[in-house]
Amino acid sequence: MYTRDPIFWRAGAVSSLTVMVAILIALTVNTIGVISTGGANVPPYTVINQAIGYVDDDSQHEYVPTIGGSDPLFGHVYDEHQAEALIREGKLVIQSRACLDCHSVFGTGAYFAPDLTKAWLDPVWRQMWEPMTQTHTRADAMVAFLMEPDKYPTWTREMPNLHLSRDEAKAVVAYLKWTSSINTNGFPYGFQADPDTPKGKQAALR
Amino acid sequence: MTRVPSLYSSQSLALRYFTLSVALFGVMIVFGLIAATKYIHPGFLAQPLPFSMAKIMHIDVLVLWLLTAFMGSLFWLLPSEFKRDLVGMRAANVVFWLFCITIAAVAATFLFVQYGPGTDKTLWLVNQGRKYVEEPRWAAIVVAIGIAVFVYNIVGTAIAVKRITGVTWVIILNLIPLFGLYMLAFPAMTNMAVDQYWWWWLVHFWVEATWEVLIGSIVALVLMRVMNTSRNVVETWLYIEVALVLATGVLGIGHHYFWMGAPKYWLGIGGFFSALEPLPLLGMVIHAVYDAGEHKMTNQPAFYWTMLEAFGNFIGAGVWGFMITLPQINLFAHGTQWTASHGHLAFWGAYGCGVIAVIYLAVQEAGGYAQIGGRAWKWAFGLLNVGMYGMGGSLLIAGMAQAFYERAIGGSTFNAFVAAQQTPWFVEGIWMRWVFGLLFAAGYAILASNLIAISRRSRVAAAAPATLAVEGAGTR
Amino acid sequence: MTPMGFVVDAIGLGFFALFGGAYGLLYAASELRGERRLGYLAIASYAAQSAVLLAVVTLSALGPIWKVFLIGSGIAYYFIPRVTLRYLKNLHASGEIHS
Repeated sequence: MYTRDPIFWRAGAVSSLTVMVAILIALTVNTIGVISTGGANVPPYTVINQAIGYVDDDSQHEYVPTIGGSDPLFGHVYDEHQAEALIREGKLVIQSRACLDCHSVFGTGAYFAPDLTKAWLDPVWRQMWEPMTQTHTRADAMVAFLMEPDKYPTWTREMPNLHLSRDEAKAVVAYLKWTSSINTNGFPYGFQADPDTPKGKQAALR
Repeated sequence: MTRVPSLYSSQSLALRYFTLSVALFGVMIVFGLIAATKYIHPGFLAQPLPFSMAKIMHIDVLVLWLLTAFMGSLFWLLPSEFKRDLVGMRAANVVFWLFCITIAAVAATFLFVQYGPGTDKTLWLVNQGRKYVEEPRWAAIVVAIGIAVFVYNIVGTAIAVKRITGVTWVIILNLIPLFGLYMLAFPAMTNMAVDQYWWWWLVHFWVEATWEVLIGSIVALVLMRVMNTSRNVVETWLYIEVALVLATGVLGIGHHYFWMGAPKYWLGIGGFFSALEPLPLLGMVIHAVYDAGEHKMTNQPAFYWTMLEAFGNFIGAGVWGFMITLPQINLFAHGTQWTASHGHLAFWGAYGCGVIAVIYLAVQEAGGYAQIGGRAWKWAFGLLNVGMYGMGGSLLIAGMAQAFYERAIGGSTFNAFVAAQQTPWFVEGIWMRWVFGLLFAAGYAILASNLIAISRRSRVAAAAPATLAVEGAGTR
Repeated sequence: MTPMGFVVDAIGLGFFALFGGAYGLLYAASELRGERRLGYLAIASYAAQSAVLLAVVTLSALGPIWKVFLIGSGIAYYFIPRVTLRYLKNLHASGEIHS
């Protein structure tokens, strides 16, 4: 009986692997196009110059990011190269401080501290950290907090001081602003973005 | 009269790898307990050791104890497949010591240096900050060289003997992607979506493909020794297992691509293929029951740990995975303690139990014992499993509370996160996890002392009568 | 999907898989040991799995495609232990002859 012959199953293993890998490669080519910077789901780094929101889109039955009018970060408009350099530095800081061994982005990382996918849009910056750090913008509050988190404890789990320089902290803030603009298929669900986000003319990302 | 078998040199190395592996298992538990304590008392060791570093040690050492155990298993089992010693053993011995030095150096870096400025230099020398592969690049290069030498040990031997069994074919063909995928431990892509896309190739295809095939092959070799199952049967079953694992597991990677910026079709593809994954695991359970009923066992602890591997895999990967794998549910459960619960049970069931089985087999064969007596291994078996399933259950409760209060009701903001972490369900779940963690640690202590006792006895075996009951135990 | 709905669905799916596994385990054990009592427990497990399936299919907010998938999966759970066990018996019978 052929099903009792190892050769039959060996052929089965090889064919299932071949077919599945071929499909995976095709999907990978497509996916990389979609998730590359400037792809359908991932805005270019210069999006940090614009207002970003996160709204419940009835037509899609899910939360989607919105890209609005001009909202320069730290009062500065970054060109393509500057924005890329800033975001690249932000990623290096995130890796060098092992941020994702307490936090997560897109839900991947560790679960000791909040997910940062939409951290830029969190109303808590305006509600809690702006008064605490005596700053007047969300971006400045984030920088002040990231540089000396031990000075602004919020609850029992205090973020340790990881000795970020001002430039490093700004780069991380830019990174989180860019991350919040990525279309993540509705994750996180029900996130109520800061209502004070400058709206401008908004268009939902598809 | 005692007959302590003379060992192939690769088997002597295997015993060193097993020693390293069991030691690393202990290190993993220590840092797991520290991390678990920090959930209860965040101030515990906060100054010298932030949570992130305890967590890195816990998770990276998890990878290492399993990887070193896999290497030890193949060094132990393969000489009898090839009917000769493995080639390149001098290099393999150098690699072993290189691994030891590297692990110690990286641990010291994580514990005392911890992080550095946001430059490439930090990624090379201190911390890469990517989950599971935080080791600095220099250390990742050492690991890559080590794996390359390991591949050479096996492939070189296969070429030298010019006769390869089906199981060794599977092992060889599997080691190539295992090595190749590790190259994804190095990049630091700026775009987090693209970074995570490739990082999941490394993590998913190691854990849910190449490691599955590797442990399947190792268990196949163990079954032939422990239960005298015929080669034809073992190889046929291994091919079936490989076919099913790859048929569901390759596109099952899609369940990691739901929320990281990837196209929507991954919701359907990932959900469908990963929801199929319990079905082959059910087949493994049936096989385990069949083996338990049909065969005469010659090594009790190895037998029980092998059986538990099948059941544990079904529970951890099958049941726990199935709960959270459909995208509608994963939207809330993803990235919570629920995931941690699934991770603990799946690693334990799929790999932890399997490698403990092989280590018991090796110490028994090395000592030339017909049976491993006493009650110690049963206590270890009981406590480790009560501890692990207790931890899994506790984290499940905490995770459900987190998913409900933070994700579904609270909308995942900072305040929602904090509120969920303070709910009684979460707090009690985290406490229970800590208590079961202690039980697990107690089980480990008994396991380690039992293995040490057996090994010591074998070293002074001239005084202890025993016979070599297992065929192909490396005598020559 | 409501907050409570997703938790209940997840628990339902967990029990669905768990009862399916219990059925497989008990079925195989009863066949191999020839114990009728285990056979009854196996049937009870499969009945419990079917009941969970029915509850999920009728009450859950999961989409129709996922429900069809779950029904198919429930049917597969019934046959996998039988087919696997029969196959293993035949395989071992022929394996002993070969080896």
